[in-house]
Amino acid sequence: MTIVASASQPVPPSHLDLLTAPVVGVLTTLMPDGQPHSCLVWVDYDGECARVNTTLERQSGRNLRSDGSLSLLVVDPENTARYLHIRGDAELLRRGAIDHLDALTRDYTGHPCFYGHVYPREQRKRETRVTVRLHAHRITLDAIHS
Amino acid sequence: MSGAVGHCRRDGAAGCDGPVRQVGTVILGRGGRRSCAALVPPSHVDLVECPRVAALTTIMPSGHPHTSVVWCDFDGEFVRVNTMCGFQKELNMRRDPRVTLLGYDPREPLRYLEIRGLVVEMTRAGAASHLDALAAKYLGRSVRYFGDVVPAASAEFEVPVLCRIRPIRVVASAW
Repeated sequence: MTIVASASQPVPPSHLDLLTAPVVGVLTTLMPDGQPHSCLVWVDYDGECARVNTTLERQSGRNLRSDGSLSLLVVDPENTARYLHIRGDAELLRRGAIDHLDALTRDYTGHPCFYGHVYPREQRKRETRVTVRLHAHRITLDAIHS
Repeated sequence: MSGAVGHCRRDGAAGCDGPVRQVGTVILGRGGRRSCAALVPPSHVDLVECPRVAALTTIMPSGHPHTSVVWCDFDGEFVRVNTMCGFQKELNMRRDPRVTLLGYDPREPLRYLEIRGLVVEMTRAGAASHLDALAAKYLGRSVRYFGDVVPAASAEFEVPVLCRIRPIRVVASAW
């Protein structure tokens, strides 16, 4: 099932749980040479867009700075035939990125905040956190056979 | 989620398990991530040999990445993916051989394997038997893909294509 979505259209309610429950997603960005790069990320939803969190120093953050093209795949852990795939462009936000990261940390780990619990506190000074909002061009659901 | 890269060395085999097919940069990162050129560590072979989820990314004509869930296995040298003629990823791989496969189990997401690679062969030869073998591995019993997994009639209009992917960069988590 494929839905063509504008940037302002929400994710289909049938699959919103994959963004609001603590399920990891596969974020793919493009390396400078055009090779795709995938990594696992924490995901949430701000009522309009799926969001992930990274740093401008990490490979995915560096890639998004030079090319905002991305895709996000979130697979239901209990039923891998059920998934949500978003293809689109990134909006990078520094403001509020630490608060966003801490909210993700609470959802995914139960710790109160990221730095000092998941990563050492001093790591915070060495990296620049950004929230990545995914503006969807296309959303695909459960399309195993296509 | 993975750690920042710690330091780089160019001595090829350092930090890797098993034989090195191709000498390249080894990166040992805090947080336990490591990256070896073209080497699948034995500890992570299960994430390319019929993993619970294999996310294959190809490149759309627009330049955007396109990711889909696939079945795959590994013959020791190439990652093998099976698709059908005319599917989006098949069209994408014919146009642009750069792909990336991320193998993981969403129930244990601290462990994953990323393989960046190039599609070096796309063939119909042996594709149907490979597809049956893949289906048998995933389902745990002897099956025919057309007839047991999808309706037998699908074979009239779907043509399997076996894609061999040569790893050029491998990143394995090791938390």
